[in-house]
Amino acid sequence: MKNECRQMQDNCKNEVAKTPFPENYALAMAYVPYQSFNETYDAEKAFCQGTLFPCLDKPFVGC
Amino acid sequence: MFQYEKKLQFPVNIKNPNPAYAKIIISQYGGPDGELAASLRYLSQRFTMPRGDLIGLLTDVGVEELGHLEMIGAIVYQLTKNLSQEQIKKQGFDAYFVDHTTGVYPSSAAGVPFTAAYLQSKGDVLTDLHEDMAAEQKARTTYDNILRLVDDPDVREPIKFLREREIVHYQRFGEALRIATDNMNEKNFYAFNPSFDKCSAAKKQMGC
Repeated sequence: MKNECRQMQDNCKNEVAKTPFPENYALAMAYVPYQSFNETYDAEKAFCQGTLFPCLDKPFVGC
Repeated sequence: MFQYEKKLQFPVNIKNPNPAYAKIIISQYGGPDGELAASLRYLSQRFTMPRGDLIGLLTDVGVEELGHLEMIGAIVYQLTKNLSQEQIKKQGFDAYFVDHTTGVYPSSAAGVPFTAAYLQSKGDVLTDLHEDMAAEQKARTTYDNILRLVDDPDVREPIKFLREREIVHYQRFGEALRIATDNMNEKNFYAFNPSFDKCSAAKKQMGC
């Protein structure tokens, strides 16, 4: 029964967000903008920074 | 199942032992917002996620957190290698030492042993993903605080790497929440729990 349920849900159309925020947003829900694939670091830099994406690279500068 | 790779996700090579640092960094091993709690949280919650892609995401992040647990263990171990009795006493490591010698034991910086009460597995996709996003932020703050207290670059570099991973994971969990809500009716996200309630209703709600 449970596997059947999961199977059906996996067959759902897999909507891929095309915009950072949904067209129809609701109150009482949290939304993080969807990341779009654009600029990347080279592999070595990405490894050191902990992310491939400059847009997600947010170092701590407090002291 | 898991396959083990005999290397760390990011190298840890600490030249100067420092038990005072070990005492605070142990909190990311077995403390309230540490890597053990993170990995157990995601690897437990994943079973009741209503979609394969969400199960996959929690599995991936949960496994990575186990890699981070290993890195923190390596940091603590290297910071407490070849200590003199003088260093143990002077740097306030004696309270830990008396119970654990230099063994790596999952506890918080204040010495509280690890407990599963640090995490929740609620069986509700929206609730669990919100907890996961909060967990990443709490771990990020803890790493911020470690960076305030630690000067040694050999320690700071792997800590900075782990901190950045928390931010990346926050983004991924945010996207997971988006995947979930995009496939639910925004008129009432709380109409029922797609992880539990009857198939036909859940199916409709998940956009089939």
